[in-house]
Amino acid sequence: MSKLLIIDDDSFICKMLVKIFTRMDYEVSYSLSLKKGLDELFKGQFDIVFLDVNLPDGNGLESIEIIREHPFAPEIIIMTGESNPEGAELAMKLKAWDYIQKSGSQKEFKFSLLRALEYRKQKQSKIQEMKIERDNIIGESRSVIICLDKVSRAANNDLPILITGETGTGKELFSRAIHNNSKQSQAEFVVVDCTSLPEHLIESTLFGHTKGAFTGADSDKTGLLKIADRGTLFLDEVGELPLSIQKKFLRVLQEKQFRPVGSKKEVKSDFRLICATHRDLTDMVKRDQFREDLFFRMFSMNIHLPPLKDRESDIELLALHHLSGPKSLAKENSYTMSPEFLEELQMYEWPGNVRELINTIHLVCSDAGDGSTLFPHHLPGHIRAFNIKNKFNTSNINEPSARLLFSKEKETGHKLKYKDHMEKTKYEYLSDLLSITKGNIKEACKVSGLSKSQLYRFMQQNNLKNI
Amino acid sequence: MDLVLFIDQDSSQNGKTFKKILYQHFKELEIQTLQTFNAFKARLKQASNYDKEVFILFADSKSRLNQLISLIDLLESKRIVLIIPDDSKVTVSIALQFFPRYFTIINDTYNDLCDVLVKMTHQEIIKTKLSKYGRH
Repeated sequence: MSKLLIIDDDSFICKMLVKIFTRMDYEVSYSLSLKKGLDELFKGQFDIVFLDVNLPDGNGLESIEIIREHPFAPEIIIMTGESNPEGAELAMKLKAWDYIQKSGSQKEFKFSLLRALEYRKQKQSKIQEMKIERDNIIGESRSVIICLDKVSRAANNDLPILITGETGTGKELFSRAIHNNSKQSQAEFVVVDCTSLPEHLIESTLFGHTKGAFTGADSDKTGLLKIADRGTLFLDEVGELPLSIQKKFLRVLQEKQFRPVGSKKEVKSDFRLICATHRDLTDMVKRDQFREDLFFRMFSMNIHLPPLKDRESDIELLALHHLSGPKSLAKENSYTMSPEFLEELQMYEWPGNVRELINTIHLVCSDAGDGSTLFPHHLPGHIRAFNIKNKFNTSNINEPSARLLFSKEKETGHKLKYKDHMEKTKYEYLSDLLSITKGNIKEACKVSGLSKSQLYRFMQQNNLKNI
Repeated sequence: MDLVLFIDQDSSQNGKTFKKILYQHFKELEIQTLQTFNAFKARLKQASNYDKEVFILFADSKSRLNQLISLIDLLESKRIVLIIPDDSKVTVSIALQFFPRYFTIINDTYNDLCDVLVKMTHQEIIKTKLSKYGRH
């Protein structure tokens, strides 16, 4: 049975729609404010959301992007009391399903709903067809689910993909998942590590060479581009590709053929391209460090992998996987994490991301010995030092100074810049949050939806202490 | 950066040549050489750090390459550089299953491989310096 949610502050409208849609055999619920509506939405799984524009606690149109981040994002039908062409245009740009006026007939509501459900059914059957093998990708956080959804879409087409994210977030793992779930999976997955290849070796490594093409070329060599024929070529850290090679590579992408170094013959190769980088390629294009034409040719779809600190809920899953997974070093042993140990893992910022977490787990296991329970003291010193400093800073910084900073601006009547305004809002929110929860961090996390490490970080950034 | 080299004690003269070249080129680095399959397996079970270690696998025959394939689970999440016996399609296909950062065919000089390892070393130095200044 399809599930519908109505978010509107007009209880008459809500009740009327509930009545109509319940008669049509749908499960319907409603919320009278945006916040409650979004809470309800993220708690459950809805097919369609009827969303009012002017709500007492916010604008419905501004929450479309938030709703679309839901792993099972419902279709959105915007409802409004008045005619607003700009609002309708914005809703369509943000990919809402429909924009209807509340004064419309029952028939209009029903028609829009039925068409949206029909579309959703089609979309879901495609998603089911696109279910993928995850390989070693561990995580259930919303951001990972969104990335996996993109992997699934990428695996079902041949478009070039750009995977971005900080070092250690798993760019190669995700690219392998795309390859393994794609029609190229029967052919090779070829890694080109652009960071490790010296400039003078890149050309012959990629394109290959003939015997005698240069000093040291004592035999013919097949290039990686040819080896990747009908498979996937993974250019890791593509931002490191020298400009001279970028030009030649562009031609390969356009013509699907190239000439090995020293050869007069063209070689054909048709591969799927996946690139990865931790650098900002758009910025590199602006600085003329990366060719714009290649940039547009290479990347039709972007998968951005979140840093580990933004997917705190996955830390436990990752740690458990690497403590007891079949490929773990701890295969023959069994380790248990104490709650304090896990808390320390979740509090740390992991600048090296998942890779750093895995390295740490391996190190901890080898230090702890067989069958141990893992305690914080098993962790490397720098992690414990960071966490302790974080806690210490959070509870010792002088709060009034920060307040003074803002009140001074109020007194002088300066107009704040957008960034300052946002900082101020953040500060006030956190102050209120800590005041309401009486400085109880656990409670503050529950109320705000922030993780403990995020909260500590924000408190530190805003010079706030827990009361 | 440390180098972990697997080169079987029964490997051909080529193996000895490679080992000599590697030690000459990277005197300043710590090179751990493992000469038996079991010793190498045991080493892979120890803790390791992706950014600080490169595993160099010297496979002078197809059978040696196949033997190494049995360790593929333990080689996951490691930086691998591979030396393979030939460039036949089958051999290259097996080699690619290790997702090597670089692979080359047995030769007399290993200039290419040494250049790659030098670049990897420099990258690691830069990374360490950047992380000291809080950039990643």
